[in-house]
Amino acid sequence: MKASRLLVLLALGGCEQSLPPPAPTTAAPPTPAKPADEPHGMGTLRQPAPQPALPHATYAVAGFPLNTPPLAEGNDRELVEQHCSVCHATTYITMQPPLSREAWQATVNKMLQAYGARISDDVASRVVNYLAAHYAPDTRVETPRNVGSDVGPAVFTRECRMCHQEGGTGLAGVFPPLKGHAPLLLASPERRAHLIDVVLHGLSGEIQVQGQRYVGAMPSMSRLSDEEIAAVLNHVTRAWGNDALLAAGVTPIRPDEVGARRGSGQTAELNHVRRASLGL
Amino acid sequence: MTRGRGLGRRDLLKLAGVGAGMLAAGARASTSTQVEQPLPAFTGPGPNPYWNSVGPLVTLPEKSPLIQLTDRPVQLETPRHHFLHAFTPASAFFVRWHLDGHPTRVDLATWRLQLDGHVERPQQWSLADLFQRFKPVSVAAVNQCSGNSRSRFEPRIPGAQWGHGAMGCALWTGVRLRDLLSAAGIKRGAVHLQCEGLDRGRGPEGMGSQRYLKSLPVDSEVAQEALVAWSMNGEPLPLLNGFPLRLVVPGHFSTYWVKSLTNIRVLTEEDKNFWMATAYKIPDNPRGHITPEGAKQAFHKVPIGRMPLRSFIIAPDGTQKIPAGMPVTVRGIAFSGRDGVRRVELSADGGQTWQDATLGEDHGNHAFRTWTTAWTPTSPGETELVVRATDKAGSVQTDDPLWNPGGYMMARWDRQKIVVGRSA
Repeated sequence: MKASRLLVLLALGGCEQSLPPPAPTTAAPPTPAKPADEPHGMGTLRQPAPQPALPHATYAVAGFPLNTPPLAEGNDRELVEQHCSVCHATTYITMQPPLSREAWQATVNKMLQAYGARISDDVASRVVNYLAAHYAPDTRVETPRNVGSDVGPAVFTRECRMCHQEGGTGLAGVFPPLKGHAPLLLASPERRAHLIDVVLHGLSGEIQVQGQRYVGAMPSMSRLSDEEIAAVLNHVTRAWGNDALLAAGVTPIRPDEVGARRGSGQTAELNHVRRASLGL
Repeated sequence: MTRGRGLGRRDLLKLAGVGAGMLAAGARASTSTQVEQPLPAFTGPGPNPYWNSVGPLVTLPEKSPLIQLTDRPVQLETPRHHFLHAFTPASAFFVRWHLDGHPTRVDLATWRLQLDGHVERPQQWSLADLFQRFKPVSVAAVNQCSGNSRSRFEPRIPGAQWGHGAMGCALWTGVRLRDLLSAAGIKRGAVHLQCEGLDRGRGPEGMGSQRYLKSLPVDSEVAQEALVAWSMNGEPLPLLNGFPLRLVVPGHFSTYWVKSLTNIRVLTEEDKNFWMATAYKIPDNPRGHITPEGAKQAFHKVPIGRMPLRSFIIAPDGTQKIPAGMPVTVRGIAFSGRDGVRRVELSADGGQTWQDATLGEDHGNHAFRTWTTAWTPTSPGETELVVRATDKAGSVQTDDPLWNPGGYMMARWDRQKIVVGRSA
């Protein structure tokens, strides 16, 4: 509703500007509209807008909204976004099958030589390093294209915030903070499995976090889907400055990792017992 | 993907409510638009197992929901179910732009089609001029991306990861290119007709990333047959499909069908711009085939031209279990880049034996030809349907290995896995 109204408004506004396009031979590139609040998965939220009845010779649409999924987190991600996005969205990266370093190198060379991208050799090699580190056969992980950016925060707001509080600050004595703490639960494979188990199967008993005692109970959240749990865990381990505390090379939790822990046999009590052995 | 439990429709609705569309409709390509399982973000490193590409369904201006490959510039694929019919709606027609500055508005008060260069009388026509001064003609023709089905090559090839839906057939209406050329009077010594649209890229002046230019040879069958079309299926072209005018080159891949056409330049020498001299070239043999090993050395390349003979199974699409003994109708399309389709055959045993399909109406040699055939699965289990076509010149579609570095010209047999269930 909001989105379609926006479209109509933009269309009306665009027509009233009476901006005649330059002569065809020198036509400047019309810039596609980029609504800043464009939701991911807009296809499910939009419908084609009818044309407003305006009697002139201009044929126009509001623009072609962007729907670019996030690139994999990692060193030089911003550099890649900055340079590749000059000419095209980074969906050109995320759409590809896993490609070898050689194939990425050849692709970057093509951008430089065939298309004239103005990128220094140093930047080009860092771009190739990033692509090989996240989008090669041995490095690419299945992070569903629209998960992480919207689902995680939404699940947090709906399911977690009432206890762990806005900003992941926790509540003294009862609910532990996620800010400053959650990334530590990705520091080893055992802790990573434990983190998933706590969400799936709960945690009961007194614990200590950042030197403070908490006597609360984490309920099992197993009614959430694998995708939701992976998304919310990826959110809370990165939000509020937590991304700076993540160990190098930590990859996002995948839905199939969550699915694999559903039958782990852990319980809220067993999770409490195991917690001590993980140095937490 | 393993999951501890099924993901029900209620869950999907809930997730959609979360505002993510992470499970946007369109899920598995082979399931067309059904929401059944989460979308993978990519396919590979093996061939894409789905009929369509993977991507969220998006609804852009003037278009119905289509599968997004990229958002800037826009590349959209047509979902499988639209190919049950010989004509593809304008709203569902696939979209492929090369440069991100493709038009969102055209003012027909100032817009003109210019024809100049090596001609006696340079011309400028408004759209109204084209309507009034020339005899309109229509042709039913398939427009297919050179890289259609690129995601099916093995090893995989970088580029737009199309499934089979970067194609469509429409009834194109406009004026003959040759009538426009006659009005301008081509001078002796003309070689190429260079076509350009309103789209612009952000690359440096003089490079392919700044302008998209394609040329047709002046004295060619293809230039004789080409149209400058303003409508498809009796509707104006959507802006994403080239409003107000696009070149229509029957039998040839879309790369030549320049969108939002504004300039035709008659050149006295061969067009050496990037999009002619470097891009869209194939190994110099009829199927455009070379091995990955062979491609590591220099090899002779030619500009891509006519489309190969192809055929597709559209229904059943593998989402349903079919009870053994139940007669079902298998449906699909076939098309050829030159001669039209004479015969379509279906095999239920991997291509050892074939049964003839019944062809639908013949809309001309360049159009989709629909086909149907009855098939009754006999025993429970997994089976595979395979289709092949024969053109009017007698050439039979083959399933020989096919690869080239551009990921062009895919024409192998389409196959559909079918699960047959017990009926008692």
